[in-house]
Amino acid sequence: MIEIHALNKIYKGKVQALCDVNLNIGTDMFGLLGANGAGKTTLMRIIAGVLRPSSGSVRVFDHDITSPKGKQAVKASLGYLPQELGLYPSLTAREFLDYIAILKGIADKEVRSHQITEVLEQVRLSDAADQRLSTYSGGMKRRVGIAQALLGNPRLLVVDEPTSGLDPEERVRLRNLLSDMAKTRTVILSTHIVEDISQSCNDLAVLDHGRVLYRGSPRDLIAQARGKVWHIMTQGERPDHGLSVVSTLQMQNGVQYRVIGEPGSQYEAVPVEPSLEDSYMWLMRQTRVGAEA
Amino acid sequence: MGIARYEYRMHWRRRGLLVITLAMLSITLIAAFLTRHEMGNLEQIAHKREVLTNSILSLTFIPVAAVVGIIVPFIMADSVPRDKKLGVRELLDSTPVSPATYLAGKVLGGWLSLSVSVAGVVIATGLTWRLIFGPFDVLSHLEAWLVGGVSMIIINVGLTILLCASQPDVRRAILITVIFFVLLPGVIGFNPRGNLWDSFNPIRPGIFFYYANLVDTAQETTPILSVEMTIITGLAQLGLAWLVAWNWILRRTGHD
Repeated sequence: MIEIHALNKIYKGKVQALCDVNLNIGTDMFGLLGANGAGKTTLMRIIAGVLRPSSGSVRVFDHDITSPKGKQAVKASLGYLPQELGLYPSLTAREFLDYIAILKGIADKEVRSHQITEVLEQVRLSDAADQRLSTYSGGMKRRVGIAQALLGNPRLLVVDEPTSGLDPEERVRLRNLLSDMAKTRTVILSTHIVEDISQSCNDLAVLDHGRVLYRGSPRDLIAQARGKVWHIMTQGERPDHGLSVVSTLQMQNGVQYRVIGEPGSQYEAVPVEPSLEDSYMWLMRQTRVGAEA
Repeated sequence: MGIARYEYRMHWRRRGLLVITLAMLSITLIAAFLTRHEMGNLEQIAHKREVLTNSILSLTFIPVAAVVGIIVPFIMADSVPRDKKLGVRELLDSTPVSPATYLAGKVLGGWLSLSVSVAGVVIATGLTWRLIFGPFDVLSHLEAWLVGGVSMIIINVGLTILLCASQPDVRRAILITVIFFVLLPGVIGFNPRGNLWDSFNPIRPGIFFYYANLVDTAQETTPILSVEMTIITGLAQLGLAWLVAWNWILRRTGHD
């Protein structure tokens, strides 16, 4: 469905945001995971056709995104939620969605109206649909952003940090909504929140400094970190000796640290089953160690 | 048309357009109030209808044309850069609408908003004159607005939006507007008896002096800038601005 080959992006000022990225993304839900500045947003913007790559090729549904014709074809079947989405404060949510629907080429007024009602229900904004966007909270604005991406029943849904600013309940709802959407289309979800990926994606890529560090299933990534994650109990002193602390938990009999690495015999370390977050941390740690070596 | 419709709606919901519409209306109504005694004595004058027609043209066209020529560009300048400021541009870029359609929608929305604003002022002042002072030549009044007013709106609003479209932020757009609509008229001068160069003045002296009834063409011995020449020159400027904006569109399609 989406074929990315030898993709590079160098911004003005010689900042290399993407470096020789090769990815094949099929239908279903695909997760892009990485720290801030890893290149996720750059990759998402290139796939959405709003940013031109420096070199390499991107084919979406067999359309070459680097050609004007191909870009136009991809945009016609795209729902895009940018990382930083602004809205027109003087319009209501319904008006804003109508405006975007017009830009998406939905010419029939009744079809637009029907779709707007539907997406407003999906993001639970029907009651506030006729309020000006200037009165909306951050989470509500994010939901309007998601609603506009769903307009036009797009074949490809590209959502960049969709859950930022949402409360836990809305995050779960949105993840479920995106999972439902992924049954019939390609959904690319970019996030730095590991939980969003672990709960909804069967396929993911980890980016770091513009390079693909990992490509595969969350299960395989977790398998790679097995035997590298431990619980260590101390009286308060932080474990050292090259260990990375993932979490700290105050207990009645001391402090329990969840660590990644190879703990020495001075610690009474208990191996634990890694989570996707542990595995991600382990991967990043391996990369750092490799780079230093 | 969809873009234009929402652009129109957004212009009216921001305070700027409403404020200048009320300002234009107030100025013309104050002018009517101040001249009421002078106009009231017109019963003795034989050509009352002609005098009333001249007075409504002068007293309404001068303030409204000045507002359209100088103030309005500042309201329209951020039409395109504002999308970037608000963070909507990236989303708009991801839709299949072509950049030219988007730009045309912005310009059309600007024209529509200001035309409705000015039409409101024209109708209100016409009715005021008719009710207070009596009948006047409505066709002359309408001609002034439909030819002079509308062409000023089309040229100046279009120029502003297109010239500012390529600016990266609202501040730069305002700077361009100051240069083009404040400094340039200062350099060119404001002369009804000028040459082709004078017709480039964005205040459009050819239209302004003619419809504001400030130059008696029958008495003039030197050539006067014609309305036609002023409109043609303005449209040529508009065409150049479109080329500049189009060039910008071609460069930024896909960004760098």
